[in-house]
Amino acid sequence: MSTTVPAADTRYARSAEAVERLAAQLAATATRPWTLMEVCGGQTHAIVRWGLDQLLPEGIRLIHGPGCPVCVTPAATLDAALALARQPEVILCSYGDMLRVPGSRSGDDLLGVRAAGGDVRLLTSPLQAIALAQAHPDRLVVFLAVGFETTAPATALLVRQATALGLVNLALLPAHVRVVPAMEAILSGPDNQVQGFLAAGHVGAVMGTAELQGLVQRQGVPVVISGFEPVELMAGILRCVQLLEAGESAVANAYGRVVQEGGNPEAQQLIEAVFEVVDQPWRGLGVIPAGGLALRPAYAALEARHHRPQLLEQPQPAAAQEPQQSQEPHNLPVCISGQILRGVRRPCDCPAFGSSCTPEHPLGAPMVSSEGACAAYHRYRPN
Amino acid sequence: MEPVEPPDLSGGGDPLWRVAEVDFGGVRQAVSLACLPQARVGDQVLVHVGLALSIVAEDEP
Ligand code: SF4
Repeated sequence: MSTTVPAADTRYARSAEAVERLAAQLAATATRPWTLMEVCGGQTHAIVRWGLDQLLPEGIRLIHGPGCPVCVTPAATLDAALALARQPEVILCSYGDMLRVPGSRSGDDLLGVRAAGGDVRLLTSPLQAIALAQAHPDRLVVFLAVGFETTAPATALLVRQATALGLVNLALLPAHVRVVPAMEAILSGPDNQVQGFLAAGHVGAVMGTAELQGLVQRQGVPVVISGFEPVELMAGILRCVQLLEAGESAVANAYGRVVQEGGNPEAQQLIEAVFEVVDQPWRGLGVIPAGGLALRPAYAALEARHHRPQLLEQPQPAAAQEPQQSQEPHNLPVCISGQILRGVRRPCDCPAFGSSCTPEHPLGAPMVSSEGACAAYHRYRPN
Repeated sequence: MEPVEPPDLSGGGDPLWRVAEVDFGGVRQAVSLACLPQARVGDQVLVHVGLALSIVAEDEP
């Protein structure tokens, strides 16, 4: 999924001098060890790419969070997408990253279905599905809709547009997730190490700070909304450590250039009108209470399972049969993506990393996605 | 850097269909303004999967 934010001055946002200044300030601030989690996979990539974790003073540790929508999409949803894509009358479309993610059977992915003759297409925006459906009235266009609150408004807009146009050959396989419940689940985990969060700036641009305020009040941890450039990330880390040192749990916005306190009210209204909050299985993490969004009953006619009930028997494809209790809900026993997504282990701790699991032959979603931690390490820190 | 063209009024002013052309470093693409009615020509905007989500302030180093 692509986000474009104009970096008004990349020379500053990527200035080594500014980063070093912030790192020195951080070293002067920190009096004891702290462990922070950056939630968003885009931030993980930037941190690994620029080596920011290696600039932190002794004792300040960053662990990588589950903010990779591709990684947490349940195997059952991918299986449903694969079954649909095999139907000759179906055009299955999604974001590029989804094509190489295995379903519940190793090696079974949308790219393979396409190679075998299935009609699988890449979109960069959900809204492109409208033209596709209009151009192919005799086919069923199914959009595999994944993403966090940043992406949900665009899916919601697609739903509203398709409804307004009365398109009958467009359907959704929705697997939208909500980030705050996942942060809460991580804090409540028995092996939690997180003392403060860097929250994803782009989710903040939509949702504002309200949900994070609730989290901070319930859990007593500081949360700093951060951007994606090196200087923005270092400023976010510094702010978070300042709050930790002061014993303050609060929401701070270190990405004011993009994020308003109230977020984007129009986008929030769109999400609210089209989706309802549901418990949702996250691949590798199990069911997260209130962790997902499902289409409201008024839009049930747009559900893929409404169009192909025989193929998608589960009452809730998105909330279906992810084994919940086991620590490793992945079917591939070697993949430790659950521990990677909770920040308990690092990609290089996985015995398959770089050997049997590579971006060319991924065993798990974190090696596929441009937001996955394993892919970030493989690309920028292969050894 | 990212001028927003005057809105395409083919949607009859309905916010559902409001679009603008956004310049992504030289490549122009249509972007929905459904969630950003206040965007004006010349604004820089944060765009995610085809939808403008926020007006970006100038960076002050
Ligand atoms: S390296 Fe591959 S197998 Fe190991 S956790 Fe990452 S995705 Fe899974």
